[in-house]
Amino acid sequence: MSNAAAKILLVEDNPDDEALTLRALRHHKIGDDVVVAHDGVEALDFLFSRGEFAQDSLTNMPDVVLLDLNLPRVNGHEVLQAMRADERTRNLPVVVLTSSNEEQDIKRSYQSGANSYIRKPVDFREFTNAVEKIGDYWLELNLGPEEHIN
Amino acid sequence: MSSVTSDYPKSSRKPPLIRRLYFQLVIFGGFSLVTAILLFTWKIGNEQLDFALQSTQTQARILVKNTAAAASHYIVVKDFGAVEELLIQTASFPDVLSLKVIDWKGQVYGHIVRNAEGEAVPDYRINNINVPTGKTETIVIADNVMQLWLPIEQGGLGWVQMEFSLNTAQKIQKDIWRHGISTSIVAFIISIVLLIFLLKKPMRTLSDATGFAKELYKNTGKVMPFQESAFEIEQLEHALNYASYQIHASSKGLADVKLALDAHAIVGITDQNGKLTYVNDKFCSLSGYERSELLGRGYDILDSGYHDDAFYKALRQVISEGNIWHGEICDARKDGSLYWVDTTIVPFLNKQGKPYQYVGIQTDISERKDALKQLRKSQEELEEKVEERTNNLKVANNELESFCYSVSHDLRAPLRSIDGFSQALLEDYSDDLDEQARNYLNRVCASSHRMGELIDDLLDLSKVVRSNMVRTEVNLGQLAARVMTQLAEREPERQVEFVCAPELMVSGDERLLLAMIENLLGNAWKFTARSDNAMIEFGVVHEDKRDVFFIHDNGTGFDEQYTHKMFEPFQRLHSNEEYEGTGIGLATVQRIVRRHGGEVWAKSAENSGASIFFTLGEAV
Repeated sequence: MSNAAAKILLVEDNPDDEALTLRALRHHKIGDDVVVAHDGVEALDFLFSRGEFAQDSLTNMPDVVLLDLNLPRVNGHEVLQAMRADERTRNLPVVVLTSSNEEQDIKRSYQSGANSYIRKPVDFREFTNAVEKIGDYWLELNLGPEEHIN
Repeated sequence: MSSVTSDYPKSSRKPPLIRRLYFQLVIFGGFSLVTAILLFTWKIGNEQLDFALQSTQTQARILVKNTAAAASHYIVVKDFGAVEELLIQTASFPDVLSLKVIDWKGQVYGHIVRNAEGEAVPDYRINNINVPTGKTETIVIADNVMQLWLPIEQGGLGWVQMEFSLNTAQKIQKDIWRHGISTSIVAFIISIVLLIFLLKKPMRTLSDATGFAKELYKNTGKVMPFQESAFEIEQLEHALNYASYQIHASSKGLADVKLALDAHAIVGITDQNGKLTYVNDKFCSLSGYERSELLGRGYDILDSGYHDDAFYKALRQVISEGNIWHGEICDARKDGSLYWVDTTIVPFLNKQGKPYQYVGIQTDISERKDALKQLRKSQEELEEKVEERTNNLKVANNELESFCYSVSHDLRAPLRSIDGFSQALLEDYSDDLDEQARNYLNRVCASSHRMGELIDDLLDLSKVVRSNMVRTEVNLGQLAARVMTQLAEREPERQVEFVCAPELMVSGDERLLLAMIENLLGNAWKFTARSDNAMIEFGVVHEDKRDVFFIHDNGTGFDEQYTHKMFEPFQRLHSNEEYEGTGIGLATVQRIVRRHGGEVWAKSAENSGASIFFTLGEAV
């Protein structure tokens, strides 16, 4: 796994969802810019260049993090809080992408500093549609914290 | 009940004679009469004495003047024998005691005195006496004797001296006094006899009346026999009879009250030392003691040990100061069992303001106390149960919450996989699949969609139950208008007439009520899809003191025999081909209505539309 040109960090423990998300992104020609973390620990290791990502440069931050909430070990909320607590990832856009539409999850996510909250639709077409829109929006339309308008 | 009269001293002693009215009247009457007679006698006696003295004096002077006139002739001729003769004749007046003729130097010419036999005889023993210095008539009265000096021929020839007895005048006065006294004695005796006779009857009546009055307190409406007597005493009799009647009436009233009191209450009376002087039957039967065991004892015989000394001390403090005490006391029967009495103790005060007895009125409240205790116990048990149930409910709620969370998150993921990979197959390998295979995969997708909808609706339903309610004033009409607009936007090609009452104010949770209206109007919208001139009406009627809201449509309606199934989750009365739906809508509506304390029901006839009625608890 390399983060050389990673634009998206996908944090997803469910391999089916991972495959479907990657397929949708591939259809949109951005599948190669994705790094996948399978739980919270992995995600934070990647972001802070720890553990198996220790050799990676800190300067290569993704443009957006797609974060599932229900994760083994360290869950999505904890990942989000850890990110917001660290100077390096404080402003990194995070889109919560989860199956839950529980009010408490939505509220807590925004309180922890999520930039967006999207519920995974069951319908695959809608799901594909949503992933494509996320890609368009965060990679094309959105100006990230590190970018400057020339 | 003991009588209050015991406080009042009775008079039964015999008064001394002098203090009895009868005696006083008689004595006073007699003495008055005697005094009047004696006063009259004294006045008459004095007047008669004065009159007798006057006339005696006049007689004596005339006698002396005549004697002097006659004697002057004899003196001039010096015939002293004739003078003596004259004097003897004059002295024949029985009251004349002595007579003298004296010359102006004191030489006695003749002297006549009355001897022991009363005869007038010459007396030659005195030759010379002192004569008055003046030449005028002189009268000296001493020792019942009047001494008269009269000059003869203006004193040129000497004096006539006469001593005149006044006994006759005195005798008249004495006679008058004697008659007066004897008259007054007779009058005194007669008056006493008369008074005794006159006063006897009134006095006896008075005595009877006194006796009657003395016994008045124990009379039971008795009347004193009427006796004709003096007016005042008759009045007294009337007054006493009236008093007797009144006392009887009021004492009967008191007896009636006592009867009623005894029928209801436990009554006990104690003296100022706290010793029982009276107990009624109820007192005995409740306490289990004989009357004889109670009388003379204090209330402490009933002490159950339930109350501490301070309790009784405070009680005694209140009543000994003349105040009424009221409270509940736990007493012990003779057999040791306990009972409760609601107690009022009223102190009765004497003239000095000190209590002389205490009347205790009590009501047996043991049953009430027991019931209260039982009630309190049940209440505590109930509270415990409620707490237990609440805790159970909390646990169940928490479990439900985590269950729902799992459903929401974990159940959807495999569905997405089923749908996603089926779609991926259809898209990525469509060339390798025949018509039949594509059909199967489409069916897999459709089923997973439907399963997704079912899960979402089920979650919505559970949210209705779990969410916290925030009651505010909500206008259901406004909510309905909003929902209708959304529905019309979703299917702009449909024409549905919507009739809504302008103001449908309720108190409730706006979010839940919106979900309810969404479901109800969504149904109405759905089931009027095939109606010509589709019409939905939302309104309210006031029935049985509550607001009954209704949503009526002229759509397909339903078979009324299945009404009871309509509100159960996943129960559908139409096939999915006819009308789409998961069968959760009305179950959600019912839960929302119930959370507001209301109820919901439906009416329909097939093909004439459906009406859903609901209430939301109390009318606003």
